[in-house]
Amino acid sequence: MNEVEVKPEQSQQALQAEVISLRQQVTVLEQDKADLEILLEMTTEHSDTITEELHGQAEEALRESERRLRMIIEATPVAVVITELSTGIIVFVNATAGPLAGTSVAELVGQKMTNFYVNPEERKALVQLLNKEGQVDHCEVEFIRKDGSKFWVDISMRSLEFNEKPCILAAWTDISHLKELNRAASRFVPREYLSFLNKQSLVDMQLGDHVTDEMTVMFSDLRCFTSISEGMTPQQNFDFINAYLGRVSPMVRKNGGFIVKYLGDGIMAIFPGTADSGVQAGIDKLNQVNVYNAERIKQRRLPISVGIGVNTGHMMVGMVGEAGRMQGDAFSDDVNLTSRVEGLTKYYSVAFIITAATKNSLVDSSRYNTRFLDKVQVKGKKKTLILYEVYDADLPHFRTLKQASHQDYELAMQHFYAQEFTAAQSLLFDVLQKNPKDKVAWRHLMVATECIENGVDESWKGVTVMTSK
Amino acid sequence: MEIIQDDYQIRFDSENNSVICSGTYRLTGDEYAAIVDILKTVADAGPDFLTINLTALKFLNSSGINILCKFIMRLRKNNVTQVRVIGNNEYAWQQKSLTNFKKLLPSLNLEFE
Repeated sequence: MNEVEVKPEQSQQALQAEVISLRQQVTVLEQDKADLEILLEMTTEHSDTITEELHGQAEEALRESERRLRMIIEATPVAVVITELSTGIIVFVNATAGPLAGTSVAELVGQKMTNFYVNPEERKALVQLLNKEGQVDHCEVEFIRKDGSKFWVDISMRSLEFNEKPCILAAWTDISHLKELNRAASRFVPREYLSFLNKQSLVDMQLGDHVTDEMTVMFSDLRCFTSISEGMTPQQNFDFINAYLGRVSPMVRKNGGFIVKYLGDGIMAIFPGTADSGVQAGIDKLNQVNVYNAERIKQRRLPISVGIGVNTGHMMVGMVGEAGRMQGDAFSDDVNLTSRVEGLTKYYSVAFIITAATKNSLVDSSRYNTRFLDKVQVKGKKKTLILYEVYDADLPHFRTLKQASHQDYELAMQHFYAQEFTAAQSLLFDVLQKNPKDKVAWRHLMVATECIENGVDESWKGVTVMTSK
Repeated sequence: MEIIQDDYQIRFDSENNSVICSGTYRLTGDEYAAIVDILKTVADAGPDFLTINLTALKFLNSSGINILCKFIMRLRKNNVTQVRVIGNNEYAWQQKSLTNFKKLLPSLNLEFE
């Protein structure tokens, strides 16, 4: 055994030193252990603290963002309504929706959305559109309140998950006022006139907008209005004119025309379609006058008489005036001529005159009772106009008489223009025997008699030259 | 000695023997290495006294509290006992976590502004 010899004293000292050193190390280790425990504890505690703090901050941020969102939704002037997709039940509304729907916010929630549609089918169509397109923008819908009052909204829709259910978010803007305004505006500029000028709305109307085309134009006027209106108060005058215009104006619309403007008691109307529509409107107007007259006679009032002139030709229809004040108008030579033609109803004592241009444009002239009236040269124009009388709206008695004498009358006029005045005279006598009140036949008879008495020169064409307007 | 980043800063003001930590300490262990270096240097220099200003330290993550604790322990090891820590009342976490520094260095003086 080769052992190191150790003195007992030495080993004792070394051992003691060793023990001290070990004790010191233990102290350090204990300190380190304590430090580590503290470190672990502190780190854990700190971690908990900041986790809690962050969580709180996140919750607060969420609450704040919710509060802000709600504030915006409540303050928005647009009504916000959320409905369940499957049931159509309202699950959320903002403060604007209540008053608009005529109820409280609390009462709205839980109601069925279809209750508010004037036409519930519209909701179905809107939901279908939403499903198809993914969104619905600016559709106009009429709603009804519990009290029965109606209102128009501009509605936009989006799909939305709300309370974990598929829902529809709808935004309503009240456009009742706009609708009213549009309705009011359409009384000044009719919708037909807007679409005729290819305009979406009154806002698009510009000075100088026009359409040039072949159209039929109608002028009509009250005869002897001055003598009727004498002795009427201004209010009575207005009431009378409006009673008259109220009866005849719809006849224009009914036949696809539109009134360009009123000229006092006169009406200027355009028929962009067939000439037939203008002629039919004239007949309808005169029939309305007949009904009105029957009432007036019953009330011991004077019947009124109306003259109508219709012509067909090229014309410009559009907006005239200045940027701050404009109105619809139509012009062309043919339009001016129509006004003259209407004036001639007085001269010939007939109610309704159309020009050859209109008669030749009729799709079905056999539908109307027309007869040749005269060849005229109106003042200031060189062109000879051939005019026809439309007597469909004559009272039944006179219409029958005119029909009965029609053939003789037309034959008489053929003789007249062939300068066979005696033959014409004889036929016109026949006409007048059947219908002594035929003022047109009387006039032709007088002219034919004059031609027989005075003779005619080579240039004679049988044209009546008007020396006044 | 200083590190200036957009989010966090550390600076040793040798004139006043003051360590100033500010900003948001949301770093990883590796990212803290540069900060740890500064703190080690400060502690090993064994100053007579030291101020640790944390008034502008908005946020400190777990790794961050860990390095600050180790810094306090290193100061104690280097017999730097006159240590003043200034915290900020507005940051709730400081009130809880900074108090625990005294467990590591009982002579540490903690103040809040």
